[in-house]
Order: sequence, then C-alpha cells, then structure tokens
Amino acid sequence: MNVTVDRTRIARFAEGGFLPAGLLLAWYLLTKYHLIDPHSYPSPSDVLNGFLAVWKDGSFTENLLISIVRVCRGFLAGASFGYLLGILIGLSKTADKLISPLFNAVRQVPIPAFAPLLVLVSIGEPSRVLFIAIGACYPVALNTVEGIRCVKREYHEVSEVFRFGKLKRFLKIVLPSSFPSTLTGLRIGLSVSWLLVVAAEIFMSSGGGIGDMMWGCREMSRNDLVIVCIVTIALVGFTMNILMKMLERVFSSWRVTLKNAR
Amino acid sequence: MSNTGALEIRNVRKTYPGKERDVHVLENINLSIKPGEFVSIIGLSGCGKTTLLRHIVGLESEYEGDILLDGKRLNGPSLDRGIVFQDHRLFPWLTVEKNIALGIVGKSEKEKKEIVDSHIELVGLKGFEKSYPYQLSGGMSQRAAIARALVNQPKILLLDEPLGALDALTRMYMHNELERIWEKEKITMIMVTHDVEEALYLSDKIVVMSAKPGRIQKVLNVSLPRPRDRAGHDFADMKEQVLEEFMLHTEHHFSYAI
Repeated sequence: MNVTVDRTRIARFAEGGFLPAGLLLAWYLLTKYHLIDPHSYPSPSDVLNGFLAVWKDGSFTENLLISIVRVCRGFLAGASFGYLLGILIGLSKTADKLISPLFNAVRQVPIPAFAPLLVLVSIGEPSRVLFIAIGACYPVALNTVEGIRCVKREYHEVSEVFRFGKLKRFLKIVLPSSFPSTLTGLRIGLSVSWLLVVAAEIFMSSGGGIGDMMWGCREMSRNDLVIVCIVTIALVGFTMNILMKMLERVFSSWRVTLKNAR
Repeated sequence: MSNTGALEIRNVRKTYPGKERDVHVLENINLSIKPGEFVSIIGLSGCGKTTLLRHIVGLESEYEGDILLDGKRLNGPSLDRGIVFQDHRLFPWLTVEKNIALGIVGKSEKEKKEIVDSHIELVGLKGFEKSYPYQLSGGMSQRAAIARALVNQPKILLLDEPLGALDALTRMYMHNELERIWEKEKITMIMVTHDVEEALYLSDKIVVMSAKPGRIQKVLNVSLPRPRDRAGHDFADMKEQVLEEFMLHTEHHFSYAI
C-alpha cells in the first residue's frame, strides 16, 4: 500500500516536472541559437549568473527576507482580524445583518485600488502591511462564517442534551467543527498575501523586498534579475501552499478520513 | 437509585402547524413506566415514536398534556435523562475518552478521569480510549455513545434506534451488552426501534404505536425469563403476538377500503 502511494507521488512529481523542463529547454535553445533578441531576453545562464551575483552580495537574501517578514505580518494581522470577523458574523445574526452588506461591498474592490488611500493613511511599512492584511482577511472571514454555519444540527442537539453553556458550546463544538473550513481560508489567505506583497512593494516602493528589487531591476533593464525574482516569487508561493496543505491535513485529519472511511 | 426514574405520560398531544391544516404527530398518549423498567416503543416509520422520545429527552418541549419524571413535569433537557441517537453523534475531532469526558458536569479532573475510565470499562471499550470515532466500527461507536450518555448517572436512558445501523450479528451481540449494562446500572431505559425481535429480547414492556396520528395501539408486557432465548417457543409466541398488532392494522385498513 505504502509503496503504491510513494510511487504515485513520485510519478506525479515527475509528471509535474515535464512542462517546466520542456520550457527551460526551449528557452535555452531559443537563446543559444539567437532566435530571440539576447538584449531583451537573457539566456538561462545569464539568469543563473545574475542570481549568483545577487546571492553573493547578499541583496537577494536581504530582499527575500524583507518580503517574507512583511507577508507574515500582513497575513497574521489580516487573518486574525478575518477570523474574529468570521466568528462574529457566523455566530450573531445581528452582526451578520449589520456587517455583511458592507463587507461584501468592500470585498468587491480590487486591493490595488486601496493603494492610493493607504499612502494617505501612512507612508512606509504600515501601509504595505495593511495592504496585505486586507487581502488576507477576506478568505479567512468567509470560510470561517461558512464553517460555523455548517456545524451540524445534530451536534447542537447533543450539546443541548448535555446542557452545555454558550461558551462551552462555542469552544468545544463550534470552533473545532469549523476549524477545517477556517484552515482552507488561511491557505487561500496566505497565497493572496504573497501575491499582494509583491504588488505592495511595487505600488508603495522603496521599502525593499523581492517586488521592490524586481521593479528596480526592470528600471535598470536587468531582465536576468527580473526573471530571478519571478522564479523566486513562484517558488516561495508554491512552497507556502504545500506547507499550508500539510497543516490542513494535520488539523482536519478527522474530517478527511471520515470522508474516505464512510 | 432504583426507586427513581418513573415516567408518567398523560394525554400527550402534539401537532405541528401545517400550511393547510395542522399535522397531528401524537394523539392521546398515555403511558406509565416504572423505575428500572426496559421499555421498547415499536412502530412503523412516521408513527411518532422518535418524536415521543424527543419530547421525553426534552429536545422538543412544546406539547399538550404532561410528561412527568418522578412527578415533575418535564421542561427541556436535563442531565437526569441521557440519550443515545441512531447516528452515534460522537464529535469526530475528539478521542473516545474526550468525547465521554465532555459530557461530565461539575466534577474535578480526577473524578472525571475515574468516571471516564469506569464507563469505558462498562461498555467494553478498554484499549480504545485514544481512538478517534472514524477509527471505530459502528458497534464500537455506539458503545462510546452509550458510555457518554451514562456519565452523569441519568435516571432514564433513552435510545433512539441505537442499533439500527448495525449488521444483524453485531446487533444481537449488542443486545446482550445493552441488557448487561441495564442490569448493572439499574436505570430506566426506553428504546425506540422497529425491530420486533430486538424489542422482545430486551423489554419488560413493548409499546406498539400506530401512525396518523401517532398513538399507542397496545402495550404488551413481556414476562419471559432473562436471558431470553431467541429460538425458544415462548419467544416465538410473543413475537407472533407483536406481529399480529401490525397485521391487524392492515386488515382494518382493507376492511375500510372495501
């Protein structure tokens, strides 16, 4: 059983690798035979050399760390707020009636549209963090509301029979039962945050970070370094998603296995 | 303990308001259950047997008439009545022992631990304390649910088709287990079922209900000695008697149709 699982996992990994490998090969061949303009389109080796240069002078690591710290701050702030908001809307009909219309309207505004306003609110780091936080808040709030509303009536009946108080019902039934849904929201929220950190660094630049670095390289026509940044952004986002999925699996094992078993 | 848990049901009537006319779910229900009795309520689907049980446990609290437990009119759920549902309703995110402990009210951690341990022992789930519900079979899940329902030492244990989802052999095995637990705990048990044999094997009294509106058609006393022999002659006779209640019902129906 385990062997088959491992084999399919390796197979899937290999399958997922075909396309990137093919693209890399095509890129290599196109630049090698000068089929595309070498001034605008750097070759894979240019990109590698560029990477080694920024790696050695430390600017790559520095900017990457700035972005990661920034995304963590924004995500934590936004996700916490979103979680509390989701709980409030999920539990209270009054809160739902009062807050949901506004929340759903604001949610339609593309986050970059907030950028001009955010600069007015604060110049510098807080505005970038807030920018990310806004994006992270939505999916967490929405999924938490959904999770709380989907707590089975049967479980509520059990808590009624055992005369659980409101607090016990909330802590022992509503929260754990809705947590897998919240985790899905957290995973989506983290992806959104990572997308937004790059946008934040471009819109509200000069604070360092991988997006700022990319934008700076573009101004200097260092397309090799732009590609280094793009690939880095992709890989970090990809890794974050995998980590969150693992976390989801750990915390909602009872739910996943329930689906498979019954 | 054994002299409490008497249930008096007097003239209970329940209607749900419907769009065109009200739906009669229960009509003129009168029943008295002695402390420590094992009573089965049996009937076809839709005869209101589960509704009646939900009234006794307190999940439905609006009704006409009186349901009295030891002389006091019931009003909402209370810890003196435990219930086991058809679906075990264990919380899937908690282990067996935590599920059982969750229901215990007003005890210290040490006492809780003792209560959990003794109840796990009682239902025969030793070794599965740390298992999650999805790791248990249907029968084991119901054992855990029974343990959970008993932790506050209720006067009455209500069982809503607790074995309905189990296979025939496991069900027979669980009959013995239920009987053992009932004899040990010495509490009143009321079980809803549509399995005639199950009702006969376990009950002192079988309440046959008929539908539309749900009412008590007949109350049969089962005085066969325990443990009962499913293959015995007396058992078969009794079974015939219970089944006849359902046959009669259809005959009436036909004579009416002609």
